[in-house]
Amino acid sequence: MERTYEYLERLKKYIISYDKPAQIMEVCGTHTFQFFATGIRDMLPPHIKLLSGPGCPVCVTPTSYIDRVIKMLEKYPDIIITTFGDMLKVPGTNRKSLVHMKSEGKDIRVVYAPEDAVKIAEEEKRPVVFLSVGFETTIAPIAAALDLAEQASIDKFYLLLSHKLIIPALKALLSDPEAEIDGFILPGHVSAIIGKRPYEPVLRKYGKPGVITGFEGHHLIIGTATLLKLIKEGKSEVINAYPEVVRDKGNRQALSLINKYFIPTDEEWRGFGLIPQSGHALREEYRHRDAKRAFPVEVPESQDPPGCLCPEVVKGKKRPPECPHFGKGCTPLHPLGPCMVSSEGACAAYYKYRREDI
Amino acid sequence: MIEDKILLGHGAGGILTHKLINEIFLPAFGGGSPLEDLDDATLINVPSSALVSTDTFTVSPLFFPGGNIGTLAIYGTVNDIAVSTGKPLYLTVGMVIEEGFPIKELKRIVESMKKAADSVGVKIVAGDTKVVEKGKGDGIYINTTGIGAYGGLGTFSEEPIKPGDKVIISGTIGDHAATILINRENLGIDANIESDCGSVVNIVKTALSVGGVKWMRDPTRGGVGTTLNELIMGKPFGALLYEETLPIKDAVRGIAGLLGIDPLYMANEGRVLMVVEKDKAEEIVNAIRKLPEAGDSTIIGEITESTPGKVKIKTQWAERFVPMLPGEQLPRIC
Repeated sequence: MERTYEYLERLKKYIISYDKPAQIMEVCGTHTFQFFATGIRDMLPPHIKLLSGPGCPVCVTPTSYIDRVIKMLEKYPDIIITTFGDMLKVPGTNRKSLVHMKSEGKDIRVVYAPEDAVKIAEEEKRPVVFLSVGFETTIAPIAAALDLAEQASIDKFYLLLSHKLIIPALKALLSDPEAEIDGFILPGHVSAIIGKRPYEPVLRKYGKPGVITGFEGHHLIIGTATLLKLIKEGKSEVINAYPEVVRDKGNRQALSLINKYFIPTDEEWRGFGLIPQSGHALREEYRHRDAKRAFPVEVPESQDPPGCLCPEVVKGKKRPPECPHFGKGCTPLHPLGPCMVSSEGACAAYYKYRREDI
Repeated sequence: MIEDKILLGHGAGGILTHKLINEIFLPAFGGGSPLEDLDDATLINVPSSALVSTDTFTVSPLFFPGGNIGTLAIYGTVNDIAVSTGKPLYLTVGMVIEEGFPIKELKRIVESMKKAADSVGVKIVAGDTKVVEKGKGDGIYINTTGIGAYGGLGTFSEEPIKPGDKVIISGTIGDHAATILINRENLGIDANIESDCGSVVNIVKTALSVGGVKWMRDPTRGGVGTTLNELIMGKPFGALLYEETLPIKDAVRGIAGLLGIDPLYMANEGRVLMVVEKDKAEEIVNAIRKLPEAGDSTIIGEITESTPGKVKIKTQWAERFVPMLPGEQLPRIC
């Protein structure tokens, strides 16, 4: 125990006395929160900057997705929408959100796991649409839920897909000539599914290091120190600093279940636009579960909230306090953009910890 | 019997106003007070060193578990006087009521105000009512102004605040804000929590009687984080809170997490934040813990030499800054 403590103290000293400027991107929104909450962000010397990345699924879901759900509810009043709570407050065009639809009497139910949505579909006679939004961490249980629905022949269970895959997003970030990122704190939970290997070719290609990191304070200290050392040595390696959870090849069972139902496709991301092969479509034999096909609607061109800097924030190009709405017209209670809604959003993290100055 | 809703005429000074005063206000507030004379002004005896404080209450919703706008209006002003060592003596009450407001609810508010005032031994000596057209207000707003005897609850230590002094909170934090939010924002959660809305008079009196108290505030809007910053800003010392000792109810933590706010910035309506001499800290905590309203009081931090002018919090891993609240936090919380 004593030795662990001393080890961490030594790493803290290494971080505090690090003498070169470095821009680190923490890809995952949970990391953004934890860097604040643990105080480790405040411990960093001023020339080490943390940039929040696109790893908040709600934040990178485009406005058109919310608009589509709203149109579906209007055109097919029979359907039951099931969703994670975070999606409820995300504003669509003209700030209309699912909260409004709910208050208009539409049947929208918050679930904590995708399989709860399958249970609802089993009990109800009406069609149940699950808002299938998330990264690999969430896609795995969604695939499991779908598997459940298939095996139990629950026909009225549909998915409205907006899956996001992390590797294509990293490629998009790094191929941007304006990107100023020296290295990545890579998401522990997503890596538990995909493993360490998929990161290696892309980071090697762009000559950047990455460290797979857990979410507790000691993980952040180990991850940050390891990454800074790699940056200093000019290495573009991927190191797994969360080996208790993450394997080189990931979770094969989860991956094969995902692969059974979904196939990569081009996907629209807020802030990035269309990223090739960065999302999912249902495989042909399961397309009948695609809510987009089962409940077609015309979605007029979506409009992002005017002045909202979420599209820049998710790319790490702007910091939340640079947005004119931050903390004024946009707060977690009355969010203007998704980065303030989500419990993983960078704006919500900055707001919670009151940071206007960094 | 008077109408069941407030009409514009209730504020016009005529017969309806008199009926309102005679049937609602006097039965509650009147009992032996100078209010019964219905004069334009009231003669009161004021001690040579008197404290005065005023506050206006706009909370939404008007009724919430643990209190209502009326009790909030009494305790809010009473507490401001108390943390300045004052024994609260007199209160005035001004109300702006929206046309159509149910008389039954007004009666409920007024009766609970009377009860709250009696519990701290403060007299309501003047009052006023105005009615605004429907849609021009939100039910009812209440202003209270209080007068208290300076030093009536004891005195502060004469020693200046210095590094090593301890920071004490008299109970769990964020209860009031969490209660209001859960009842206002349709969160669809059913948390068993109520506002800490209440008097701090006995807490202040008890702490001052132990001695060694250097500074006190009731951390209402902006919570412990903001109130402590107000003390520390521009000073040659800093403050360090200990995260692990902060008394926060699980329900409050949950609501705060859900809404993306930090309990450190959530309003309290019956707590005292104090800075005390290091050697007296334990004794003060033990003394006030005997009071039912301060059973969870704890030492939550200390005054530091490092980072002067700044408030920090020590987590398990490092220290993070607890800066001043930048903009709007939560409107209509009190």
